[in-house]
Amino acid sequence: MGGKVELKPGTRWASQVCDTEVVVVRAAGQAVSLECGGQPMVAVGEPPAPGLELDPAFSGGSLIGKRFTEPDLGLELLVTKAGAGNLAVDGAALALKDAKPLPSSD
Amino acid sequence: MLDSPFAAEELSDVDGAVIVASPDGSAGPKSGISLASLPCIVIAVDRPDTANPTWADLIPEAPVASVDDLLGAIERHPVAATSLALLLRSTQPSLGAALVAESAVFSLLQAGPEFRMWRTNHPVPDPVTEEGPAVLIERDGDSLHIVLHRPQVRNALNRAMRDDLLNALALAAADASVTEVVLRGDGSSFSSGGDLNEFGSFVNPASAHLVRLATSIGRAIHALGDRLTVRVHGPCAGSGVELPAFANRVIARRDFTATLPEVALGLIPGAGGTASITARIGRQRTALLAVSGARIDAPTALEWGLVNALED
Repeated sequence: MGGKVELKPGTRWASQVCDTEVVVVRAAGQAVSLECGGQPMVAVGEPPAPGLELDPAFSGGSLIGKRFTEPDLGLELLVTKAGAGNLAVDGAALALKDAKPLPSSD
Repeated sequence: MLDSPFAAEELSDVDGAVIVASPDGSAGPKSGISLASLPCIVIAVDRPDTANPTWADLIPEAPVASVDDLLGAIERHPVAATSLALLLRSTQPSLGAALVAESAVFSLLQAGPEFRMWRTNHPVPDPVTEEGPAVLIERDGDSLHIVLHRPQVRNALNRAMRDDLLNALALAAADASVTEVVLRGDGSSFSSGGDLNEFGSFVNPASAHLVRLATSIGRAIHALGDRLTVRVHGPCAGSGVELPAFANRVIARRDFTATLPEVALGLIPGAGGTASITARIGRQRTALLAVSGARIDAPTALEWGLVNALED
């Protein structure tokens, strides 16, 4: 719990301190500590550890459907359930993905 | 004409030829010629009610479109109408193959004279700045509601909506805990189809073919299978009809109407409709709708199988 994990594409992770859930779109090139609300995220279905609290420094909130990236790691996450915490890797908040739309086909 | 040993020559009019079959529906090809590759449109007229000639591309059907309606539409846009007839005549082995075939024809027509003429006659107005997302995603437990949200233009499908919708559908596909997905539209209609202001904004037709396949909303809808219900309402057109048809379950409000207007733009349905609508109502009724541009109401859509149920 709280250690670094491999984030494989398609795996889902849940916050321990809010309702946020994410799915991994693109894996990080290395094992990382994935966090939400300042606390490590756990695989969906795992019970949260007791006594953890949302860190006010990571309480900006996560909106459903938004994608977050850590470009240096190649990591990309998609928020599948909104929550009060915001996402971070190894203590650094993740940035909203700067979406580069495909051109028109019409 | 279909009996002639020179049928292939007679039918190969590059401007798009039209054949009206004989009244008793007996004018099917007898001489062993295959119509599959012949650029023509075969219309069955005055057929007995029991006859359903498989060789016909089009069968007029009251009150949707008469033979004169069809002849007029074909005369105005022969290249698009004939290209559509050729495409619908080919049976594709899979949904993927059908999407590839349709997209290729669509791209060809983007480079054709009829589409160029339409765009010339319909200049693009100045863009209006829009606020807010083009698609809303609402989650309630294990239910996900995806809502088209450009009501000011009856949810015309532009690039932003395309990308947001693909993202929302990807979310639903990736999260197995989402057991129920509902796709609907805000405002007076589910969707009025592709945003005409973006028609002609492709980089080039060849690249557009690949972009279209890379961003297939229909494929993503189909992949959700029984988890997805599409709720349609109001006057819908083009992709606003084609995309719901990919879903296993489509529920229409009684004010729903459907039209496929693309041939009048020198194009064909390009959101996968030649696969999705054909699977629901057959290729001849698909051709009837697309060539005529006629609008059908909700009871007709239900009777034909374009939608699965009506609601108030």
